[in-house]
Formats: sequence, structure tokens, C-alpha cells
Amino acid sequence: MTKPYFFIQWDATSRCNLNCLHCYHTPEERQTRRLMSSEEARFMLKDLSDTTQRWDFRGGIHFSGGEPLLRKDIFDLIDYSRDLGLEMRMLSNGTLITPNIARRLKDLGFEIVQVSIDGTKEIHNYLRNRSDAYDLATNGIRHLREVGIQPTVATTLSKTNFPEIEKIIQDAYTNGAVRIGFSQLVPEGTGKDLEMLSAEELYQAFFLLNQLRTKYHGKIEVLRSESLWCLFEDNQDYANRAIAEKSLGGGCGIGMFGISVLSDGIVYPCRRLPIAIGNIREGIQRIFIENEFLNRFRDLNNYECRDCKKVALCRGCRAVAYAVTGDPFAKDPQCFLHLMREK
Amino acid sequence: METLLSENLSLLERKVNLTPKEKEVFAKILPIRQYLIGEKPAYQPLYSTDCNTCRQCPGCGCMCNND
Repeated sequence: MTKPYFFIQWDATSRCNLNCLHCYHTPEERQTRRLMSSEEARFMLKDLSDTTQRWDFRGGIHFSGGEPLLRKDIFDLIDYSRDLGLEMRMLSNGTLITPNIARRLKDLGFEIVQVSIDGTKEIHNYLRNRSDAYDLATNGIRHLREVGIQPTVATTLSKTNFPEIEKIIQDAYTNGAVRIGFSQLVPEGTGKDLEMLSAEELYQAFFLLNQLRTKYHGKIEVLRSESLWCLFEDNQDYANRAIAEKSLGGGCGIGMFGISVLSDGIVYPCRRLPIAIGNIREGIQRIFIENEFLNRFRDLNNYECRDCKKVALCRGCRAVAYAVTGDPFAKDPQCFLHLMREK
Repeated sequence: METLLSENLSLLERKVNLTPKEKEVFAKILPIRQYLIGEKPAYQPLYSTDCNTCRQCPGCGCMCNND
């Protein structure tokens, strides 16, 4: 049986070479948020390795940002993570991935790198606020593929790119991506000015993506990675068991499988849920295990959607709920279960 | 709630590598509890199966159970 996976998504830096319209950072935050020192970062990585080994879990570090490749000691920290036996992922905007960088990532053990693409060329460049962002990112994807790294495209769904879903998938495949995932826009940071989809539109989008998964099978994998995807699954027996045992069965990963650490060490339950629950200097044990606020996410009774038959497997996106209502336990306003019942 | 948590907790009592507080937390997470007691997961959510190959969805809640 494969071990459970526990990860830290770490903003290696909050600096970025882009200024995207939907970023969860504000421009001020990108400039002013402190950077953990190399020593602090190494302490975090060692703690992650030690803790997950003691738990008998797999440990993972997801280098994110900002743009993680802008951090000067990033390759030293990657090297250190590899030596610690951590699984590594990178979430990049792709624009700095030259053939040399791709080769270096491959040599250091990366198998998968995520590159964000938010539309066809025109839309992507508009959302990324830079006229050559698309060409640079797609070149980055090709460079990754050339050295044997599997590029995953990540797309944030909003009203701006909603009509382009199939074209985005086609282009990702043409550019060399092996899989693509679509996530809900969280209206926070600079992203608060973009329009998120309504529940009806998100249902349409997921319904279409479900069909496109089949259409593009064997070419590019269309992922179903948001919690609300569980509404498309035949999973009620398992959901009933989890509910009966007062347990989380899956869905929103807050309090289950990982935490998010900002560039200055502040910890969020999830990168998209901007509620500080401590500083990583306190250690994973103290934050993930002992934090009482995080523990509230492990009790189904705390959720507004607690009476839903899918609650143990879903709970929607807590970050979207918080961004829209101010309450992280409110119902996800994009939940479309009621629309499926009407069909 | 307390009775069920106690039942779930009792399954983990022999896990000497975990502190009491860790057992309390992991007892509330069914897929982890199943792993810790050696119970084969009865159900793999489809989206988790996807993430078994991806593992790029921070906070998505996937178990990433397959290498």
C-alpha cells in the first residue's frame, strides 16, 4: 500500500517577473513580503523530511511563488530537498524555463513541472499583463518536454477564459503538455477584480471538461482536481461511511494533506485561503497537528454544507467561500449540486 | 461524535511512532486512518486517481496514492 502524501506548498519568493490580473498576491505584497533565509528554508525542509518519515508518510515540497526560479538559492534548496528524499514539484509561470534551466531541473530529479496557462495567446497575455508571456511560457513547456519532464498546464477559470476551454486544451496538447487542470478562480489579491464563474457556469464548464476528457484521452489528460469534481462520481457508499465515522474522506485538502508557507514563513491552511495559522519556525507538528483553527476543518459539523450527502468527500473550495462571504466554513457559492438534481 | 472518535482512535493505539495528538488528528481522516491500520482503501475517488499521475494540485485534497 502506498504511503499517504504530505506536502508543503512554499512560496520560495513572492517576487515575480509578471503582474497577473488574477494573482493571489497584491503588487505591494510581491515587493515587500520578506524572504526566508536559506537557513530558515533548510530548517523547514529538514522538519518536513523528519516529520513525514516519523509519520511514515511521503513528504513533498512544492516550490511556488511568485516565480520560484527568481529565488537566487533555489537550486541549492532543490538539491537539499532531493538529498532529504522529498518529492519535488514546481509551480512556475514558465517564462524563465530555458533549455538550460529545464536540463538542470531534470538533472535534479524533477519529473513534473506545472506551468500556468490561462487562455489562448491573446487572453493569456492580457491576464498575465505582458505581451510575450504566452510565447515564453509555451517555449518553457517545450523545453521541459525536450528533457523528459512532464509539463502539466494549470488554468484558472474565470469569465474571461470560460469560452476558450477546448482551445486551451488543444493548444496545451500542441505545445507538449501531458496533462491540464482547471481550477476555480479565488477572488482575492489582484484577482478580486476578475469575475469568477457562477455556479451554473462552473457546472457547464465541468460538464464540458468531462466530455473533453474522453475526447482527448490518449493525447492529453484532462484532470479533475477540484473538490467539486466529486459530484460527478459514483461514491455514495464511501461518502456514507466517512460521514458515519465522522471523518473526512477526501475533497478539500485543508487539514488533511498539506499546508502552504509564504515567502516569509507565514503559514496558511491552503495557498488560496489567506488566514495565517502560524509561522513555519514553530514546526509542522505545532501547526498542522496542534493548531485549533486548522482542527475545526476536520469536523464536518462546522461546515454550512454539513447536511449535504457529499460533505465528507467535497466541502467545495474553502478559499472561494471565504473570499466571497468572509466565512471559511460557508457554503462554496459555486457548488452546483442543486443544478445536477434538477437535470 | 466522542464515541466514534474513540472507536477511530482505538484503531491507532498501536502506532508507536505517533503522538496522542497526531493519532487524534489522523483518526479523523479516513484515507490516512485506513493506511495506518493497513486497511485497503475501499474506494479511490476518481479525482484522486487523476492526481496520482499529476500531484500538481496544491490543496486539492488528493491522496496521491500511487507511485
